[in-house]
Amino acid sequence: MGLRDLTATEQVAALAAGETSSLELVEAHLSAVEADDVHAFLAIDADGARARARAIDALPERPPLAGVPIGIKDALSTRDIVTTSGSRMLEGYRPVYTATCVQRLEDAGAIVLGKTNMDEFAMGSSTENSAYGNTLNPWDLDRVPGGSSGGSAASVAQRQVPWSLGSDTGGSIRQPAALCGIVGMKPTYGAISRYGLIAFASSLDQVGPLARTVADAALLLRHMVGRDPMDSTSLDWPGDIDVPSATDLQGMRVGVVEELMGEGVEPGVRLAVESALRVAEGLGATIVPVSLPSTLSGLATYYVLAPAECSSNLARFDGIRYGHPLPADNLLDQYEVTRGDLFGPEVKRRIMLGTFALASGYYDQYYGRAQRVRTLIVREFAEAFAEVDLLASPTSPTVAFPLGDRTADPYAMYLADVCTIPVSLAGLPAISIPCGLSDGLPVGLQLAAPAFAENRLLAAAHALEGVLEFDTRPPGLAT
Amino acid sequence: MQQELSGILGHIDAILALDLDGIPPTTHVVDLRNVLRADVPRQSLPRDEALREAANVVDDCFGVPRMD
Amino acid sequence: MSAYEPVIGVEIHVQLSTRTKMFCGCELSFGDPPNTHTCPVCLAHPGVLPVVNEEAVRRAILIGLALGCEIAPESIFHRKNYFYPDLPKAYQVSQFDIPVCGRGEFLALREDGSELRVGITRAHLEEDAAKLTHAGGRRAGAEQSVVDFNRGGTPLVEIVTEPDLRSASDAATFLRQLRQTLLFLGVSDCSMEEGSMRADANVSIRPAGSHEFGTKTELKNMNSFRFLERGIEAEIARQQQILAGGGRVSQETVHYEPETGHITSLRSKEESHDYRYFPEPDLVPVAPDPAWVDELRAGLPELPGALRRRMVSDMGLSAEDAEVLTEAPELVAYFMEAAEHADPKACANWIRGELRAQLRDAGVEPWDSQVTPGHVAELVGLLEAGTVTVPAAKEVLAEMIASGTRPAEVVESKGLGAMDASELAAIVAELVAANPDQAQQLRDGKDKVIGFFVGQAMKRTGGRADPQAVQALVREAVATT
Repeated sequence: MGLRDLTATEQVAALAAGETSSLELVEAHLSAVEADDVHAFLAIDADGARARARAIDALPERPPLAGVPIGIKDALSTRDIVTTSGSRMLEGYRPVYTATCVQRLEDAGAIVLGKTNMDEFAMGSSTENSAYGNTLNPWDLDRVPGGSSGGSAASVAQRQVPWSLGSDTGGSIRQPAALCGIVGMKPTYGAISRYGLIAFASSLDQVGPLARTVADAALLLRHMVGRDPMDSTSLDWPGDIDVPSATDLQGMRVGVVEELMGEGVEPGVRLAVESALRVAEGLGATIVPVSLPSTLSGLATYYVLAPAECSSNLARFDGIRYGHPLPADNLLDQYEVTRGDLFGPEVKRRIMLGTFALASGYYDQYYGRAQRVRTLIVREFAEAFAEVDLLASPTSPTVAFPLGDRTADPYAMYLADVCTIPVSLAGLPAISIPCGLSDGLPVGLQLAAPAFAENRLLAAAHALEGVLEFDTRPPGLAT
Repeated sequence: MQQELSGILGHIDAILALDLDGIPPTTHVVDLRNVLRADVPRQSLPRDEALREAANVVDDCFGVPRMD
Repeated sequence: MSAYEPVIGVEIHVQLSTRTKMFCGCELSFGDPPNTHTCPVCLAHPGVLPVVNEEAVRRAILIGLALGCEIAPESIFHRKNYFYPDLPKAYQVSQFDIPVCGRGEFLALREDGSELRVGITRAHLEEDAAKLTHAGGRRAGAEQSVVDFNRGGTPLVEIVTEPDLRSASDAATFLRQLRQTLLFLGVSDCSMEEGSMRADANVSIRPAGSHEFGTKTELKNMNSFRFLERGIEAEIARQQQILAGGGRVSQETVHYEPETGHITSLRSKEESHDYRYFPEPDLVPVAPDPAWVDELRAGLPELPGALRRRMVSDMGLSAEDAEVLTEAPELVAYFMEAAEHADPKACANWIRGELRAQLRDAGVEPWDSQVTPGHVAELVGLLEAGTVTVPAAKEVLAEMIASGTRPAEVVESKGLGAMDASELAAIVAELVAANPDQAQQLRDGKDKVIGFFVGQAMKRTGGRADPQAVQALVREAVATT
């Protein structure tokens, strides 16, 4: 068992016990990162990481995260480290500030090894929309790792880093976690500061952890939550995020979302999820079917709201204050050429959809209505959580699909998020844990909880994980 | 592109069919009000940092091509 | 041409003189080197978020209270989307259908003392754009333009009036008095020249007596009240000419050129802009505590409008006196203190007249000078009692300014007291006797000659004679000789 096989929690313990040093850990992970076998990383800050490792090793007392390396999705600003958000529009862009959530982890001793690959501006479900090449799924190099946090998921699955940060707007942490056989979590909206997260859809975006265990995810979360004066939508966190220790689900009522267990879900996925739910029963949970009809409108609602917000959020990219404008004769041409050329097709599609949804004459029909459907969804979840403690469903309707399979049909790609989107619209916390295999590929089980019930969610996921005993080592990964 | 967009819009039109009578819009899923900042200065960026990432700097300002 | 009635509404953008910007902690500055007061937020770097300046909210509410507006129990921000290099996010964070201040009314006073009521539609918070400068000074034909983001993000309150104004002069009166109110509130420097107060006018005309609105044009970028008034007049004339010629007014933005007096059309791409307003997801609603709003309301200073009305109705000042004296809070306070101890009208005349005139060369305001309001009151008292004449009083004032001495003392030490009546009569008699030709001319009806005698009397008495009294005495003396 090499250093990279240790979970982050185990690495923290090993560091505390003096069994290894941060520099040793950083070197061990750097060698895997630099091997670039799944193209998970974009910028790698080897020198910076080594310097920080040495500094932390020299401290009289280890900070809580002790000098454990981490990968950061390239949607998060990291001062002086090239940050592209997967787009050519930000090629070579070096932020002059660091995202609050990353800063908090660095202050706690985490060491940023580099930035991970993603769908451009977080728009996509396979990382195939990255302007910097595909990331491969460690379980099958001909398949997608999911998206948009594909690099973050693949790097953890491939054990290049024990954990990473991603961002989730409609499933962009949970779905790649499911496809790569690891844990991914999206917290309650507002739990983690968005300051420094390159915005896609402001009312949906959230930062979250990807790791191999629930306990690791909890540990990262613990050091990030809480109000940030730089983000008006961030929340004072009531209490602490606990590192989970539960081993059973006694007294838990778990609602299975009927609408997400029917047609449209691959049989193999459904089987793995049902099997996991029986395990949950065995741990003392009561499994009941729950109907959330507005779930079916979630996709349409999301694909009006998110593009609308993104059309506005991406308007700032004009090449004037950062980025490199393409040569043009006059300002209008510069806008057109730069944005026309440096944005990929999916980004442009969403900007156009979004502009349309907000246009005078169409606002009420599209954006206005979508906001109201969102209210229905919020209410439906509230009603459901009056009856159950957790909601369960597959994270993704399918296992990882082959590269190139869905790139010709945007809508087919959008369907990948049908299970994860409703929870995002409601702003509720949800986690994906690997629960089995289908045709040799990982299947993710999604659990969702009411707002602020992170501890309940993490405890249940941890207990289930302990019994499922899913082996997160991809078969192709050398020991 | 146009075809793809029309296709997507076709799917999205599903929401037009819903009965949303009396349902108010949700703008924020967080229930916060009055998140305000004291009127106290915070350190600004040194000018060279402010201009650092700009492709076209003219007289310490951000250059913009011909507008007309 | 008076078959048409002008209909005018005004939109005023007021830069708040807070310490920091609307949505970030960069300091507000004026005239500092470019791009020295910026941060990732006001430069709209990827990933940044706005946070509302609480003092800007307080000042916006003060403005609303001063204008008698309803203060919204809850208001939200919206994004106004459009592309322009001085708008780094490519949207302005503003307020759309739920502004912080709702309907109100402003009561101005015309020069003739008549009331001018102007409805206020709303007042809301937003952020200012950055400063875009074109090589060569004008956008058209400039090879290059540059942006300085120091100003970008400055808090603005936009005040919108109902189309209640019916003349350019009313618009100017309203704006001058609105400006005074804002100055009294201490919320802004309100300088049209510096750009901390900007006004655009929406102008249309309609047949007199009609209740429908004609097509309106927007007159922008005027940087003084005078130009605004002239610009509106020119636009009204232009529209009248169009209609008289059987044409139609097109809805457009226009610009007034003060040098030529011409109105030019600024038909720009932003004309029929769809701003795609939607609620700002990065900001949460502002819901001012009603108790706090009551506190703010109770704490409002007496505003120029109320002060002016008091001065005109209770103190007998003219509307013009009132407008001049309410130009600055310090000036009103100065006047009010003086008026407590002497006749207000006389105080007003002396303060806005001779005192300010004499101080002008030194570039000092009355409240910064050595002349206290009490001193002014004393001088007025001396005049009323006949202890000094007007010309002498001017001399006394000069000494008061120079040394800060009380007027009574100056009169004493400089011997400027008014002449005793019999002493004066004796002097007049002497003068009349010594100038028989002029006396005869006066008898013959050449009334202008009286000035000669007054002049002589003033010389003889060192200005201590009252010209009016001299005149009367001369005529009497001449008549009886």
